[in-house]
Amino acid sequence: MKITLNRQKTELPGREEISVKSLLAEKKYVFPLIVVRINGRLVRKQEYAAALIRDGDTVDAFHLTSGG
Amino acid sequence: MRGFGECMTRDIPARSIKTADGFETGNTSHEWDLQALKKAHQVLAEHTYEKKAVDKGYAGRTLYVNLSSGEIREKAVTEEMKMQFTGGRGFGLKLMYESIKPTTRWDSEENELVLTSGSMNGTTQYSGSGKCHSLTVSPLTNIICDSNAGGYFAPYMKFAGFDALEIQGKASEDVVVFLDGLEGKVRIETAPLEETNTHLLGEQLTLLYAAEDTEASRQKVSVVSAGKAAETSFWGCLNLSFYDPRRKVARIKQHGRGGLGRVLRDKHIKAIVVRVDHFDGLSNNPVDPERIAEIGIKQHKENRDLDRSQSNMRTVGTAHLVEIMDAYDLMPIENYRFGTSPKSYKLYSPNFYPYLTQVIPDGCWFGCTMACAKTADGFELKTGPYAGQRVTVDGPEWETIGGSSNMGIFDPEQVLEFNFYCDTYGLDTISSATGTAFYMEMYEYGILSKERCDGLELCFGNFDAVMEFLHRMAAGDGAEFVQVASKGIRRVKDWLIANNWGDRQLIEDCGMENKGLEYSEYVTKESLAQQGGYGLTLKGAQHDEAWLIFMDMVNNAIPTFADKAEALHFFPMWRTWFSLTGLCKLPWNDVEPADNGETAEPAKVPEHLQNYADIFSAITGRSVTPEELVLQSERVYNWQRAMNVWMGRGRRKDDWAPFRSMGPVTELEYVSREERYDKQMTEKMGLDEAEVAAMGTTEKLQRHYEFRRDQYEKLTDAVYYRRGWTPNGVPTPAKMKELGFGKETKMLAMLQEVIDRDEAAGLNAWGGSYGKDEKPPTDEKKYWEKE
Repeated sequence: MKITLNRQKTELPGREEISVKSLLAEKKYVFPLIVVRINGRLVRKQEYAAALIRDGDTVDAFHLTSGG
Repeated sequence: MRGFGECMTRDIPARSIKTADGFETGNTSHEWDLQALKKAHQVLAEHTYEKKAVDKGYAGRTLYVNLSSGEIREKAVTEEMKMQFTGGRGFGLKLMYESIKPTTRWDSEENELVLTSGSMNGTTQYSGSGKCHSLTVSPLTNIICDSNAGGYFAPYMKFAGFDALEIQGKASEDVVVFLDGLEGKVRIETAPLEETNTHLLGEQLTLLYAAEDTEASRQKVSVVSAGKAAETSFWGCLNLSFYDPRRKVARIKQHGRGGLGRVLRDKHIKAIVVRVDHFDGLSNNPVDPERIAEIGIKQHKENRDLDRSQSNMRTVGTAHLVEIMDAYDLMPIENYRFGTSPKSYKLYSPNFYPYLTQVIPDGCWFGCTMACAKTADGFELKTGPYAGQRVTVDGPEWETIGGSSNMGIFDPEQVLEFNFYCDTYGLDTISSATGTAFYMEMYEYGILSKERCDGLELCFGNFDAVMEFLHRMAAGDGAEFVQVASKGIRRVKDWLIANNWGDRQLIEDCGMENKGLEYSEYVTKESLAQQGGYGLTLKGAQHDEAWLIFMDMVNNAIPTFADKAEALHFFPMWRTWFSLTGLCKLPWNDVEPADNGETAEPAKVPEHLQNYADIFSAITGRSVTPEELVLQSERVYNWQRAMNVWMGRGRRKDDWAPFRSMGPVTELEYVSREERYDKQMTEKMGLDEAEVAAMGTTEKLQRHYEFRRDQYEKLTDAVYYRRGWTPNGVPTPAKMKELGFGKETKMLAMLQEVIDRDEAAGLNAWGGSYGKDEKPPTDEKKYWEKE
């Protein structure tokens, strides 16, 4: 499947869908302060395991800034 | 402890120092003959002042002390001064502009050390309200460097009666400058017998100047000191104390950046001491204390409820960043060559749990529930003059840990030992680590050697050599390498090049300094915006103006030069504001409201911006919006840039950055991330895959070099334009007038003269190479001439 992740075309070979939780793990997005939106819809943390991303979706995994 | 998940969830019992009788650090105790110390003090000058209450956040006056003449006097804070410069660092810049010359250097008689407070400083109802922001002409950069630290000094200075302390001149022998808020006196006293290193001096002076032999009295004293290494090294820092009655330790926070400690010791100041009388949560005399309490309670709840899942500051402080930076390839390894290491996990924050004692509340100012000031108590030293003694180590902060990995050190105990000795010797851990990492890389390439390093085997990971270097600096070792190396990367670059010991370009590219200040500890190669966040700064390569790596590199939220320039306008202007009001940046965005992600601009943390506007209004009675706070900063930011220009810097050439901050310098670096860099050649540089495949690594490196350098120049063009500066980086008179500096005719005339000179020299030109499909920030010719 192909998605747009953080404004970049991203291929996820061999998948037809992926949960937010799995996507974050696959991309190694371990930062705790991440806001996820699928096609503009906010996904809350408790929904990460159930919320599914499908081919063609636009996903924002917006890392908020701390540190620095 | 290899996985990030383990770091956030592993339940490691806190180390406790609680006993049946209270708390016991296990530290080595000292017996001081305080009477003898006191008897040796001779009063050189004294000034009596009228004790007055703070009014709406301002003491209403600053204090001037001249160590050469003994003059001590008060200066009024006018309403115009508050409107133009707001307070804190703004006041410091104004005071320095009126007292130094464009030719003033760090060791000039007229150079000043200015310590400031701020209108919100000393608030106890909102976290992070105890920061001191200080300034001097830096030995590293020859321009004004500001640095900030927690501890009790700044609020105590204000409650003792002054918004800022301005010290000029030099004493002929070691002195203490004593600001006594109890008696309403300021004294310059000789201090011949006290120790110099901070962990001992801070203890002695806290005991000596406490009004009574009680914990409560000791808590009302704060000491500013440096240490033996600050007597020679340009990395000299200031330590600001806050006495902890549970540990019975004068703990410290550091003004690390820019060599303020070197200036302190050059002035023969052993310490600056402040003592206060009564103070409480209303000592700022705010106009609306209920409103402040209301906002504060909400923010305290966020810290209590959200910190564990967001940052973990209350457990490990900024050390929580280690595992994050490592996961995103941002942790500096071996002089920023790499962003992660197979050994990094050894420094993940839970590996510091066994050393950090948890005694909540652990803030460095009263009422701060972020409570990120951590300590390792009873830590047994292995090296140096205090080997075998047990001490309290304040920290380690992320920067000290990142600095350690930068030197190839991956042992928590070694990090703590390095941390302790830097602090007590009065050395900035960031510059010391970044500088040493550069020397290590030069050693690896044979540009430096054991012989050229006066016997030091500065290989990556050689902890013994690092500690020997520190101890020799503190001992005043006169060997050539120790002398030059202690002055920082810029001097070492010049020394290596002058001796013709290595390739000039390699030396310039690898040494991570900007304007003479060593970089702090983030790898920036894949974030153009953060390259600007370090390079396009007022004082040099410190991340306190902007931290844009995630926004740029991961989120891709600022893809164009104009987007990046907007971020490099807003964030530096916003973050400057903390230094005008005596605040800490951390409570702004290290713990955020639970619904922050749902706001339109979560990176700005809009609710917290509003909190700050509301509290500023509630303290001062001046009703302001968040936008007006940014305007306050913009005034001061441009004023400081104008002062840089006045001092002969503050131009495009001064915003130059070493290539290591922009991309791979060596083949080893390229090969370590070959897939990434090859992909960038097709996706960003427009080359086709066959062309890239046919290239050798040397050619690929050259292509990256040319492309990335040009990207940095284009970013610089966009940022200067956004900030209202000429293409050579000079604030225009029109911009300064717009900001309210129309009456500053001398400053405006100076800026115009520089702009005219640049014009004659052809320097008012864009730095980027713009192709046929690209455009510079504006087509308007000579836009800087517009009134």
